[in-house]
Amino acid sequence: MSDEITIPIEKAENLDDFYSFWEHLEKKISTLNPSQVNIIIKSNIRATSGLFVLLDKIQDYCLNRKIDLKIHWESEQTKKFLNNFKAFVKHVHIKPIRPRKNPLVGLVEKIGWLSIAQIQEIKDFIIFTGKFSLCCVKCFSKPGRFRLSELLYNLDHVGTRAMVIVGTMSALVGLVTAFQASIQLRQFGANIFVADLVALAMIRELSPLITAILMAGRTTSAFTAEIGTMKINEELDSLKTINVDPFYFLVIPKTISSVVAGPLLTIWSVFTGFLGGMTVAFLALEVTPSSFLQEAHGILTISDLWVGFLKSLVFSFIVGMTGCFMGLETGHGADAVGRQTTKAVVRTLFSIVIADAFITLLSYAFNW
Amino acid sequence: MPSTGNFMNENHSEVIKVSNLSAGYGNEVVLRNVSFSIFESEIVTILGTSGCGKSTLLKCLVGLLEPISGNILIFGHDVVKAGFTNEVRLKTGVLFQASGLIGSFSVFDNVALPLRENTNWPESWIRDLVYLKLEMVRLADAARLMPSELSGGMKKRAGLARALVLDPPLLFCDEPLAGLDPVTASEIDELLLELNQNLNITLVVVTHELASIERISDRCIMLDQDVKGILAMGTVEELKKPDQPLKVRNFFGRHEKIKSKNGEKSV
Repeated sequence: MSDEITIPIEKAENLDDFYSFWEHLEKKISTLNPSQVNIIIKSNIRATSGLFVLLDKIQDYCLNRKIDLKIHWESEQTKKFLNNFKAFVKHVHIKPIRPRKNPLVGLVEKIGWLSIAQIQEIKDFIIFTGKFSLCCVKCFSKPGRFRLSELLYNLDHVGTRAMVIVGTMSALVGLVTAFQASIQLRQFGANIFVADLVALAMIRELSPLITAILMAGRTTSAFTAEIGTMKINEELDSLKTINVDPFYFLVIPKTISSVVAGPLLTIWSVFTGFLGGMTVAFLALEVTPSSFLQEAHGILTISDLWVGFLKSLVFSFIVGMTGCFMGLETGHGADAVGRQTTKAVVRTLFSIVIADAFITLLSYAFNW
Repeated sequence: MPSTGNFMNENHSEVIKVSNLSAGYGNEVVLRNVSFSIFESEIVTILGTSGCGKSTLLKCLVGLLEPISGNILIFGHDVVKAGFTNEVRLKTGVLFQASGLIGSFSVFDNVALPLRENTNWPESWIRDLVYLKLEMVRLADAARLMPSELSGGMKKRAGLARALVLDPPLLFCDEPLAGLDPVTASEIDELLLELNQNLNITLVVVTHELASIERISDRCIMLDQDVKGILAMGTVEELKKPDQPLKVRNFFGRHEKIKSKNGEKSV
């Protein structure tokens, strides 16, 4: 065991140099096992908090191993700075790391909190829907409150500008449905029934669903992002202070435009879906468009139209309401809008599928 | 208190040397042929009315805007020609007006980020240094909070801790007091002074808060929109002298007027 070792700190270009010095010192102490360590701090070393942390670590290390530590300062100024610095941060209290919870307890706790948050959100959404209905009634009694220009602007964005994508998607879905069926139907010579399939599937199920899914992607996200950004920029607060209810200003025109545009887009989707189906029927199954339409007319009943219409109405209501609700619920911070928008789209899609199942069950129960 | 003496002597080496710098956006030139030097351990405030090019100059100095022409030497490195190398980046810290904290990181993680990315320190060392810095800005209790949960002053202090965590000898501050109340503002000023005195950090502060300029500046550089460059340079006392251009006297004089008015009211 040697008596003492002397190591100078010569280089401190960056923080890594301190750690390299520490590794070097630790290795030297463990091999030589000295009773005293002399650290010389050269004059070119700048007094920094990195140096402070290094000396703190060395002091602790030497204290634990019962080694005498002597620090020699070549520059009085650095010593003075560091002493100043010590006085400056004398109250440093490093928080102990919190002990880790049992992962099972943590999981149960997390599920519990998530459930509470979900219940709270459902409650808030019901209140929101109630307020929306009340505002709608008030709008009827005082039509001046209704902002028609805003409604038309939103109708353009939600409806007209979605026509190309809704039309293309529906035509393709109609085409694919007819094509899939054509292979089976041809085997039995039941070519004409492709019209029944396309008509029923498009009107009762596919058109409302495709339209709603596209609206969830386009409209819900746009509503949430717009209202969420307004909230972050304190625009909503400023509206309240000038006595303008954000509900009349934003929620009503947006939701109503969505409810109006949804069924109209669904009709457009049925039309283009039929076109797609008819094209395949004509090309692959030799079913002429007129016989296709005649067959479709024969199979469809008024209740099919009503079920399709009801679905499109409910879906577009969900799209508009969820978009506005999630926008108003946006938290603080730049990333809040992004997260809320994702959440809004996912929630809308989920609600749409639930509503779809519910209406289908209802139509089955009441024989619609 | 900072001395009012001139730093332009041999005892202090040049930290920043700007020569014939022209900068702007697109075809619009905001600064034309600006030259000045900043010396070690002084606090220089860059001041002027809105639109005079304060932020443009700062952006050039921290490498966020490429100058049209001219040279900038930081610690002897030509940053216009060679760009901001790692060496220069690690020697400079920047405190942004809106703090620039990452919203999805806690205060602790925000301050630890430069260490985790730029050093090979183990987590225990990082923890110690981060808490040290947070204690320096009196924010150790808020280490686990998210930036959205902080007040304006706390955000500034967290931004300051992050800018300082790599121990840069040079710190740029863009409007450090914008949007803060006078009490918090003077706290931030004191913090900047302490940093300058205890850690020997050179500070370049862009501000138009007159009270702050008087509290912290060793030297001021006043920019002007019409001149498209430096209107006046010197200590606060020098700039207040009657032989200065009218705009400079107006800038400081208005403050004197407000002060005397408040004095009369309080009597």
